[in-house]
Amino acid sequence: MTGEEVSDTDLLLLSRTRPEMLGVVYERHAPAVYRYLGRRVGVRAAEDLLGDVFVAAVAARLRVRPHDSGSALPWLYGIAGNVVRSYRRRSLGQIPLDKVTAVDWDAVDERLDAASRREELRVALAELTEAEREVLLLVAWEGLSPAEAAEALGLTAVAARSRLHRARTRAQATLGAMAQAGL
Amino acid sequence: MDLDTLLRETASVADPTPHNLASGRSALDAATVISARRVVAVRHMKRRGLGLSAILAAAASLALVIGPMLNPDPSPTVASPNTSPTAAPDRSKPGPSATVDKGRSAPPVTLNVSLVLFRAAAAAGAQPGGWPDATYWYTLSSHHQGTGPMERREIWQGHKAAGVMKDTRMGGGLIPLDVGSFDGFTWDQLFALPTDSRALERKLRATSLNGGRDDNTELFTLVGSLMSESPAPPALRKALWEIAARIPGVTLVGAVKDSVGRPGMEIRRGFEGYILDPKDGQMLERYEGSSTPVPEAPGGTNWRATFLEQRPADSAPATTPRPKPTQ
Repeated sequence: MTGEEVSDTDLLLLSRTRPEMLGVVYERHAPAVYRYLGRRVGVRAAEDLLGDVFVAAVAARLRVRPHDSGSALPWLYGIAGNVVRSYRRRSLGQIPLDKVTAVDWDAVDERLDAASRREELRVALAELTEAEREVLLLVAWEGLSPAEAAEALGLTAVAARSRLHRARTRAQATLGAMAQAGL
Repeated sequence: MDLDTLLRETASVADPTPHNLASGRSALDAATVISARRVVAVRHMKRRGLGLSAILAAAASLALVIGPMLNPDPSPTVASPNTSPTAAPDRSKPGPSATVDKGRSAPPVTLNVSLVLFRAAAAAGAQPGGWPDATYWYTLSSHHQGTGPMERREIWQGHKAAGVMKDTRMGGGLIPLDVGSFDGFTWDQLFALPTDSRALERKLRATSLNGGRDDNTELFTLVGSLMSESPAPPALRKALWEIAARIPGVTLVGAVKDSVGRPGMEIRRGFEGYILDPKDGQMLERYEGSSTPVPEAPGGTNWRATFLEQRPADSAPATTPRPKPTQ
């Protein structure tokens, strides 16, 4: 067994008394957390907020209950979600945040080749509640399982699956309605 | 458009560059240093109000008459079973008193904690060595947390190179570490610290504590930490024990044996205690004791670390490079 094979669960438990173990977690997961942030606030802000996420993790490590999946990412995404919300509150009026979807669509625009598709997604997500939108994007964008998304959002796995199902059904229905209307 | 296709097309985002990741790592490292320094002190604060402080304060007022300190090698037979960690004592309570050796013909010496610590300081300062140019500082220790099993840890803390750790709790795997940081000090900074104890105390209070009400607790913890897993040279160790001798609230428990049966002298402040070897001033064991569960402590209520070997080392086990994270 090498250090590379040490599970996130062991690192998180060990970090309670040796916080420097979060450095190993950082090396392992900082790129994924950066991408999570980049998808929501744009890559420029992501660089600033990445440190905030892990600094918050230093304090939060004493309360962490590692997920059954063995990955620290659900926990880190939960912290990142809080950091993003705090950033949006601080930046109210200073970033092009869609008030309905709470998404920085300029950031989405950077990676979507057609403006019409950006609008499709914006409308589809606008039909969802915040909780539905979060679980959908954690699964679709971050690649979490529904159970891991539940951990990140502080939900039960059953509730996360239910919200994910509702989110997909409603978003797809919205897209269908737009297509039928020729939009 | 199909929802899955739309989400898939919007999922890709640029990977971070090393520059993007560097500032986040710096922020984490800074927070980690502060947290590592405070981890024990914070627990102490949370444990307050349990009523034990008064008990411990009462213990502090006892003048301890002990014989073993007359002998630089206290006999294991004189240590009271109640104060021996090998006998699994209840560390939440102070020892019944220091061991009294009534059988010796020499007149007893009334010891207090200051005398014990100043003697330990002199012994530590008289040790040969000083390793300003060593490559690694190696520490072999065993750890016991709550009701969990005894775990074994080896750590190579790098002077200028990255370090590595093996811990049985983690299956004995090699854990890569950063360049050695010893309570916020680099290896070279440790060697540049003042070795006059009053100057050192001023420096530590000014730079390494939080300036709060509980600075004496933090200072006691800092002394113990620097005596445990750091390449602090003999002159610095001498100064550290002298600082401990002046910290209010430090009490002498008495002559004990540590978890592996080595004789030593136990001192304590609040819920934190040290067993030191009076012959050379080495830290043998550190512990935290509490009579109530500590939620943030994995596995239970108490923590104990026994330091079995400390020395400079020329090399450390190699770790394999971490594969680049994938999307």
